[in-house]
Amino acid sequence: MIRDFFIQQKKRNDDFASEATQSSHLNNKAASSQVRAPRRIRVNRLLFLFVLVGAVFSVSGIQPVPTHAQEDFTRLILGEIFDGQDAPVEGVEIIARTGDERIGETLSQPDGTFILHLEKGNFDNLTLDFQRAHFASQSVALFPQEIAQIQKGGTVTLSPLTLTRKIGPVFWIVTIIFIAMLAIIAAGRLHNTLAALLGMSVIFAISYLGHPLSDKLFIFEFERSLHYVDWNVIFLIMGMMIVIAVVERTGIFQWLAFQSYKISGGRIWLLLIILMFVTGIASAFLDNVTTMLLMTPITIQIAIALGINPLSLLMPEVFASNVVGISTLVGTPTNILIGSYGNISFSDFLVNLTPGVLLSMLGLIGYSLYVYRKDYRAAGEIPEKMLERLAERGQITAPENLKKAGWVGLGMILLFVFGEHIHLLPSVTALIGATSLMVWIKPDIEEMIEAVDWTTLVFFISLFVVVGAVQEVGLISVIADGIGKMVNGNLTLAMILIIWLGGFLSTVVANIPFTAAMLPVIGFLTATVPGAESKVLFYCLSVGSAMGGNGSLIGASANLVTAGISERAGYPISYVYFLKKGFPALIVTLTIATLWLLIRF
Amino acid sequence: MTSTSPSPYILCLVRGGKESKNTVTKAIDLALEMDARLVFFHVIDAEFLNQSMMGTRLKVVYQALYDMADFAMEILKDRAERRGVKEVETIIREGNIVKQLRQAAIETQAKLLVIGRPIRSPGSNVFHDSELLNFANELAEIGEVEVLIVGDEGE
Repeated sequence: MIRDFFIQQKKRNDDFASEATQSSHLNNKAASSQVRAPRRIRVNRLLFLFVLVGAVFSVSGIQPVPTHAQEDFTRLILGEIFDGQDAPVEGVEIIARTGDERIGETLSQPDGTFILHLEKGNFDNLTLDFQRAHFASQSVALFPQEIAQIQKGGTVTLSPLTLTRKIGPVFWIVTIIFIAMLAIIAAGRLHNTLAALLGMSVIFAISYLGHPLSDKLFIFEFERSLHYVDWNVIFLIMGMMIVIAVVERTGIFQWLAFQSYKISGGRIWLLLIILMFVTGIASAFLDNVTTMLLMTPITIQIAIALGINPLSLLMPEVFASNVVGISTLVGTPTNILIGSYGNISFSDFLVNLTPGVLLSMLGLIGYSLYVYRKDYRAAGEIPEKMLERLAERGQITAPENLKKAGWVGLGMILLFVFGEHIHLLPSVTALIGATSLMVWIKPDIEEMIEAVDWTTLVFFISLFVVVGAVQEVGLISVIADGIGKMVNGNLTLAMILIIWLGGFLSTVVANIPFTAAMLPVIGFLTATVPGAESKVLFYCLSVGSAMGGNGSLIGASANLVTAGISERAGYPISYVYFLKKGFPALIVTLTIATLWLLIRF
Repeated sequence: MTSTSPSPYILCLVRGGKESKNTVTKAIDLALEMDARLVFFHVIDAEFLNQSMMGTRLKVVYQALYDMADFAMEILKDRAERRGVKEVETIIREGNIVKQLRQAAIETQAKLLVIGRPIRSPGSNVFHDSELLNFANELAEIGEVEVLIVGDEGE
């Protein structure tokens, strides 16, 4: 809801363009009625909500925090507060003073709005102080006609107020922590989760231990940090992990790989195409790492049996996994982040990205056939004995569970697609699906709970807090401002910049933290760049961050897992080898995807 | 009635793949020369999962790795049998390579251990140069096991 609000700020900003001056709070009667109408509606909504909340409290018998507004609805000042990127600012302390006397105070809400009730009405002057950490404080003096209106028991609505960011020591400290976290992850010095936990702990330590020494070391409170954790993402990933845990134990991947060989009839080009599509489609619905974990061993066996270098099949497979994964909301962690933040549905991803992804796949197939042509020529027929062994391994091991998982999976896809019409969150769908499946197949519950990769969930929670701190101190605003100035309202330039910058950065920086940090920036650009309301820039981020994974060995977790298994079979994939084969693949797919998005939007 | 002592064991530590070709060839040559029983020994581990973000279901991963190793070992077994080695076995274990190999050497009472020198596996579950020599000395002390380290050229 907050994000919807944020994304709609461009439109709102236009509405307020004639009256949004920094220091002036003027309740300008001269402003056109067209301009003022939308705000009145919002004010009415605010009042309605205010009354409704009071009603709920009184009916339920719960005593709300005592406020004078409970007693009467007179002497109210309403307003909205934004930052330099037109994002609502929550938690601004608004204090009303007449002389030295404090006659009212309140906090701004997540949507930036506030309702301030004044305790008394007999005063000659009234000043409102706006204070919040990481922003310059502002004072606004009310005009005599507004004071008169309040004294009559009326309500005054202020023009939207924009607070200016304050760059203090914590800005640099948090920036350094964030960059250090990215560097530690990229260098593999610590496990990703440990790196994110370390970043989060240092941020809390500075905020809580440094704050008593100096106000300038305050970052945010624990409660505030939790606002940045996207629980929709956490529960969606958790639900999908349980479903995947059931599917992966059915032997479906091994069966699919062996069937691919059978269908190809030993024609290596056809086998390559089928394997790439099988891997790609599996990656679109399951996570890429699981797909490659289970496809790699059987692919190596097929390649050895055919007498070809297994890397000539594995590399195209991992390319396909990274590229096709972005077709759906649940295909990659980055899409889950983007979908949740940008309010982009399962079907939105399908409609807007899948055609581009399929075109990129065609490019990838052509590229792979060309690059590995010499390896493919070495392919021979699989001897009968080896074929029997492969057939033994290519069996469905749990057909009943597979059947049930298939039905539940189908139901989940339908809910993902149609659930958006009833505002069904993807996380709820994933949890319903996971629970239904467990109730139906009655697995060992301990095993299923173990199947949830808690380290990954902790990674995401820690990451959200670190990125939240980065947002809190204003780094994201600085980046957003910089990119905003660079693209200067040019949508095409913004699209190209995000796709290619995202693509190249994802080759060296872990794409999940990168995407999480970029989301508010994309939100700002979506609200300010004309034509970006279609959320095209979110799709550009999805394409760049995911396809960028093909650029280097460390670009995606699926690459590292594939290399790990391949090495254990005696076929190591070095960093340089991956770069040599993967970087051109990145260029091919990014070019095609860029063209698609430019045509589509 | 004459009593014949059982053929000695040659333990060949191998992963499969191109890099193992010389090691396997050398082990087969020696098995034929010594009329020894040849055991291809493979240790699987999932250390690489530390680098992954999702999907760390070890049971499933180990099963997939086991199947892959089993397939590779069967191919090596076929190759040794075709060359004329009479008794060929395969052993696949999970865990730390040094511990598992030491255990297998003791269990089989191997007379010779043939080990390759992986050239591109930094940080993974393979022997590093210094470890290799230490391990060879240690085995020699425990059970008079001779260790042959095969380089890229097969020697």
